[in-house]
Amino acid sequence: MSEDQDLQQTRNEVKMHLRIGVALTVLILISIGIALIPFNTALHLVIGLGIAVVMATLVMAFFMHLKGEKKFVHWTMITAAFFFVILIALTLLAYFDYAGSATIFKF
Amino acid sequence: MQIPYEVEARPDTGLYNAKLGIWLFLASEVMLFGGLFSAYIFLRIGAEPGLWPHQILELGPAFANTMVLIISSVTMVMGWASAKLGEYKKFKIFTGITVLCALAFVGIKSYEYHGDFNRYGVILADKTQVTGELVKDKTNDRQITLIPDAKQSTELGREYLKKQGEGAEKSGEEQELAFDRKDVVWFSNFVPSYSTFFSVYFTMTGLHALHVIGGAVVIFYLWGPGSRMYFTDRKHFVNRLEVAGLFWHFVELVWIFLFPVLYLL
Repeated sequence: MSEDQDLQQTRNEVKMHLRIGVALTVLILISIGIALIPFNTALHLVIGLGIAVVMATLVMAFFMHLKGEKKFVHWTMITAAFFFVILIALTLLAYFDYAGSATIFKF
Repeated sequence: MQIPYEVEARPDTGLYNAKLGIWLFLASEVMLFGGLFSAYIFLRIGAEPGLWPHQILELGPAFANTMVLIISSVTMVMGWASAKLGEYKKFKIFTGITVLCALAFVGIKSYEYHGDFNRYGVILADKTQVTGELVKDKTNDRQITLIPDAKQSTELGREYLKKQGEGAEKSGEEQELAFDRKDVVWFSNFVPSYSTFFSVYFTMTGLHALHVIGGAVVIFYLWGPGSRMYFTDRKHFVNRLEVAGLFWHFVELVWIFLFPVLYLL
């Protein structure tokens, strides 16, 4: 990409950044609204974390420009995400060792 | 001596030095916060049913902080874009707003912590937890008196209040509850030692707040004395701003998960 094209792309992205900001605000309001409605806790978790993942994806893709970033960056973050998943999976495995002695997500 | 690839991208990675460095640093940060989130999940699913507090924290300040971080992320990226497009005044305005947002975040967080330190809870032998405002002149060596919160955060706490009479559940009514010291196994304000939840809460939000402060210092430097580079080596300056922005967006990213996990779910 030439320098002129790069600057033009930055110019085009300015309005999009504002739209992403609005989208993040709407998503956080939905997240709060749903959390205040009393229903199944497991469903709360799925929806709440699902919205958080969507918000995080928007921030990474557009604010951090991961969408058009180099392969090296993609692989660095994929590696980090992979080990993060391993970390959580190991935690859950430790829990399931004692699955009979605790009840998951009861409040 | 000129350090290679300080401004221009290295042909094989396509990145300049600082950008390569910040992405590697952010990958390590994923693991740092990942460890804490993993610990949170482990403690939460291992907690006895009915004991883990649900929505015990004040939602208002946390929501305000979420909005502050969203706004600051937008202004940070706009500041970077302005500097790149050669609009110095806009860069100053947007980046200045980002710094103010960071200060607002720390201010609101301090207010929130102050509120936590002024709320109390008692835990009884049967693990019932009742939280509320301490009545200091009716608390002594023999008893602890609380004005209980209208909405208790644990199932056992809600059941306890129901047993105390219908009046206790009505919000706005300041019904005092006196607990005999010998029935109470734990009593304190909301500090890290109060419960496992508060240990995790203060550790995670405290570490996040330190990141906010660190990011704010760097952005303030680039807004203030560091901005002189804009006139001598604009491309290098824009790169610095981009790297600071990447860190700042990561800070927002962490909060996006902290907010629902600690305040909503």
